[in-house]
Amino acid sequence: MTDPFEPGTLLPDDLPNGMDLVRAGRERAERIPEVQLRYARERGVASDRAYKERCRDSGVLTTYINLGYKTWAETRDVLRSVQARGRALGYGLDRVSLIPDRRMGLPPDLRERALAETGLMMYTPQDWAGAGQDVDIAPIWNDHNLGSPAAVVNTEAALSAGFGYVGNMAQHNYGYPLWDDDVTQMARTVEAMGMIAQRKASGTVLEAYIEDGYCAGFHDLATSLGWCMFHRHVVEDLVGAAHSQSYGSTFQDPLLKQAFGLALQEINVHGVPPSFTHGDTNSFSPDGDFDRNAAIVFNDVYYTALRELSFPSGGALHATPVSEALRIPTEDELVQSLVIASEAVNRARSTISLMDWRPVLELRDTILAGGKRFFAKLMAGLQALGVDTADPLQLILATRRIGGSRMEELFGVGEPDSSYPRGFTPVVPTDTVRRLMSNVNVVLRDLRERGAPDLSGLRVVTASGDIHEYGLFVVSKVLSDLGAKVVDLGTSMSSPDIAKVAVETAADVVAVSTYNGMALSLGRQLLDELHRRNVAPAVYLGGRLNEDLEGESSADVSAQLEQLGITACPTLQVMVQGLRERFVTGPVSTR
Amino acid sequence: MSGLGLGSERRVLDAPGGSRPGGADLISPDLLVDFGSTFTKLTAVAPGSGALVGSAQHRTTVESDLMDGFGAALRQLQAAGVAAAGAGTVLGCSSAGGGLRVAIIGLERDLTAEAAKQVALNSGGRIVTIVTRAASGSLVPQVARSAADLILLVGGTDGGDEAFVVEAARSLASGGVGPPVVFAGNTSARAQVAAALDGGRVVWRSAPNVLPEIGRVEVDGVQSVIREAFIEHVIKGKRLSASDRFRQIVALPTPDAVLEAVKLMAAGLASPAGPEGLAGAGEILVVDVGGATTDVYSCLSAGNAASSRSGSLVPAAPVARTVEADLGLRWSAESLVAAARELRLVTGAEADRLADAALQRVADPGLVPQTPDQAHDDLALARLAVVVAISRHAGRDRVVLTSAGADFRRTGRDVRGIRTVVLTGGVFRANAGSDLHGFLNGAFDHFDRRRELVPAQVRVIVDSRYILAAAGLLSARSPERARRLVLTTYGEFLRRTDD
Repeated sequence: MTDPFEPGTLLPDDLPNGMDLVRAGRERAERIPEVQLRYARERGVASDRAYKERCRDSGVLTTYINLGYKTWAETRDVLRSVQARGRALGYGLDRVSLIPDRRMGLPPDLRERALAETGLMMYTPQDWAGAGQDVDIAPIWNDHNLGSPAAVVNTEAALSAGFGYVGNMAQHNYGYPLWDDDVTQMARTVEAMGMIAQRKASGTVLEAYIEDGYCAGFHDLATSLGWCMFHRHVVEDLVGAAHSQSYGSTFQDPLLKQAFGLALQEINVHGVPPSFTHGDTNSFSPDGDFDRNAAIVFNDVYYTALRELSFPSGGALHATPVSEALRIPTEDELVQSLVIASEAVNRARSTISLMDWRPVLELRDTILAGGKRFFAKLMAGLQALGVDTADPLQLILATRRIGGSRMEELFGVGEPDSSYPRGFTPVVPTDTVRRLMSNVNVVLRDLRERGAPDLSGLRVVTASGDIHEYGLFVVSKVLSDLGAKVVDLGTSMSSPDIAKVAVETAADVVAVSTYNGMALSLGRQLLDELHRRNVAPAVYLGGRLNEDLEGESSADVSAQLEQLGITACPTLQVMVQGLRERFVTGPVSTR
Repeated sequence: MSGLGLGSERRVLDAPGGSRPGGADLISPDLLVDFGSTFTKLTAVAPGSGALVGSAQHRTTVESDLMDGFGAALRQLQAAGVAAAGAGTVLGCSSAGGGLRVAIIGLERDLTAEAAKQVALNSGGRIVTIVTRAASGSLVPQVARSAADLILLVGGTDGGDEAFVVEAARSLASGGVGPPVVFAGNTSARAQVAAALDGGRVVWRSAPNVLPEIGRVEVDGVQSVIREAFIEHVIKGKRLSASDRFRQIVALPTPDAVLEAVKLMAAGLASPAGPEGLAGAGEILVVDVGGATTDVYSCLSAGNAASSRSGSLVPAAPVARTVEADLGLRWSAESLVAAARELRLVTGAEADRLADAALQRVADPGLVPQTPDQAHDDLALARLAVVVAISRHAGRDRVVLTSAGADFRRTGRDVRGIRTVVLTGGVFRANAGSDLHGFLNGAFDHFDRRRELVPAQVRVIVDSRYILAAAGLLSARSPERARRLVLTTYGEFLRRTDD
């Protein structure tokens, strides 16, 4: 994010022309020699995409995994081993998303200066070339490319090595350490998109894994689909590339997952095979019960296999390794996931006639209709904000700056309803929002089992200091249910405004959530504003209570907040316990 | 009201004499009176058809008795053939003697005091001072200095803070403050406030809480009590007339009456029973350009009003009035030109010429144009006043970019969708014969429409017959007759959509 920015406008006036960047990207790609992937060569087709189309049209299902050890050599060795074991165990492995270290999103000269994280680093052209030729598996370069400051250099490397699917369009909201120039970052992304577009005739596809971006946070599947339509408009209509949209990790309910997959197929008017359907990563039990997880994985991939057999898209199957929530999977766990996928396909083939698709299709149509409305509202809204909707750079920079949750608040298509966190009833609630709503009930049940206090008469002002609304929603809802009179001021509230409301409402309690890494500053400012007005409600802060302190970045500042007299709340239960002690078992009011 | 291209429209009113259009021979017309600071205007309306049957005006006789000027204007009307004028219903509004001067005492400037300000302006008030808790130590002297006609005491949402209003009431009581008080604060504090004010023999009335909860402003209930206080206490207190009849006639402050007319026009004048139905002007802006101030009234659809000041703690009302005290054609002409220069509405030689014209008018506020050039300058200044006042009335959008996403902040009212602007005030009445087609053409072109929520292309309707206050007055008594008055006078122009 550029800072300082021009206040009052979403976009700077001196942006380069997006279509000029696309042309520059095309010219750059023309100078890169074309290389055929080993995976395509061994199958007698021109490209990864061509083989996917052949599979799609002949009822063959393919498979996919994620993998990213620190070097290509380590990654290659594991891939070879997993593939070899498949010959004995009866599964195949077709595709791999190479999961890079986040530093790969930085230009090469900055990579050494940034902190190392987990994931693959491609150090040399030989690493890239090896990924295309060392194994008989189609590599995908998805993460930390499009949307990153390294978009052009990484795309050039991936195209030079013959990669067929290059992404990840959904990541144009990503931020990187040592980098704060979002205009250059997005300009490079658009140029890289032009490079991929130039290779369209050779079968190269511009990939998105949609839940790496805003879709993971949307509350309405109609929004998610409309957002995918927006990406198709940018990639296909404006840039001219072939576009694949993969999805799946945030879906738990098979009905939602398959209906959304079918809706994606409806907007895929050029019939580009998606890279894969990702396995569910949200349903695993936190206690590490891998047997239970294996059953969850089978169920998830079984329904995806049923859909691919009945409505073939060409997307590869992915079964989430059972240890996904706890650690980077071992080779054995990867093998197990492919065995599960293989069995799921077998069971799906034998039970396909049992599936009644009518409710799935009905839901697909609902998502589709809502998605079209969201897309139309989004485009009209962007125009009203002065964005040139024929310029890919303006579109991705503007939507990046608006942010996903704000976009859904502004352009969401459900009926207004303040009992939902974004102020409207989702047309088709995502599993994310279903979980959120259910979390409220879980917290309430837990509190009631412990003897929840009656907070009747307690006056509470709640707010979020930034745009995060989940925590605020749960706090307000739970405190209201416990009887408190809650004034929920919503997101992005300033300390002075919170204090003014505390004064007028004679609040007993001010509860603020914050996630933006400035918790101590916020706490101090809030207390200052309250003291200036001679009021002293109890102040509770929750969320991510950290801030950069001298000598320590992103330090936990809970102790400092407590010293100031602010109660730092790691959980809502702790907050309610604090309220009980302060206002119920102790005096009812501090005023 | 003359629509665009209606320069040949015959003027109804030829001050100082009376007129009688249409040759109607009516008995006991309804008589609507606007006691203005400069002129007392009479409008006679047929009780059945609601047609305008005559009008007259006379200088407001504030130095003797306001009823003297009323009597003189009435005689003009009678002489012009409206013989029974004054024998039927007579309703009046007044801005004479300084209008309704309101002092606001509120807890937080941006919350209860802001809500009170909105309601007071909508009730036709002039805000002469706002005292908040931050300055409550000097509450009594500040209110006394303001020479307010009425005090609006607010603070605390219902069930919220009580201490501020109770303390303020005690200060007013002990300080011997004269003007009547309207209490529109936390209802839980009403008994204590009542005890304090009664103990100090303060004249006061109780209204609903102006901000019963965060995000909700109570307009109508508070406005109604302000009107009662205006009639019962303010008008009497101003000693503008010794006559009981004056107090019987005056029902509203003049801006309040105009606001009622704005609502009438915007809400739609369609009659479900009659064929002469009129869709109304929909969302509408009315700009009243005076010698000292320019008032802007806007009426938005409920949805649009909600989007105005979105996220604000005090939401925008569908109908609102703002007063620009530095934009006038006489006393404040100099500051008007300065404001227009700052916005680059005028530059170079044109700006210098208008600055000279402004100086001349400030030196002689009674100036009546004697030459075509002077009349032209008056209209040029009026155009600046209209554009600056609308741009101030309109809200602003601001985008604040954060690492977590954009924060869209909107302040003020979103009047971008408004397509009809009604211009009223003496300057337009005096220039009713001029072709004002295109008066505002291009006026908003140079505004940054990404940030400033100003209108784009508007059609201009000029209230050359000056019936807005009359229609608003009549509307309070009989909406149907008010509807007919607007319909028969200006229906033709309101129907037009081709401008």
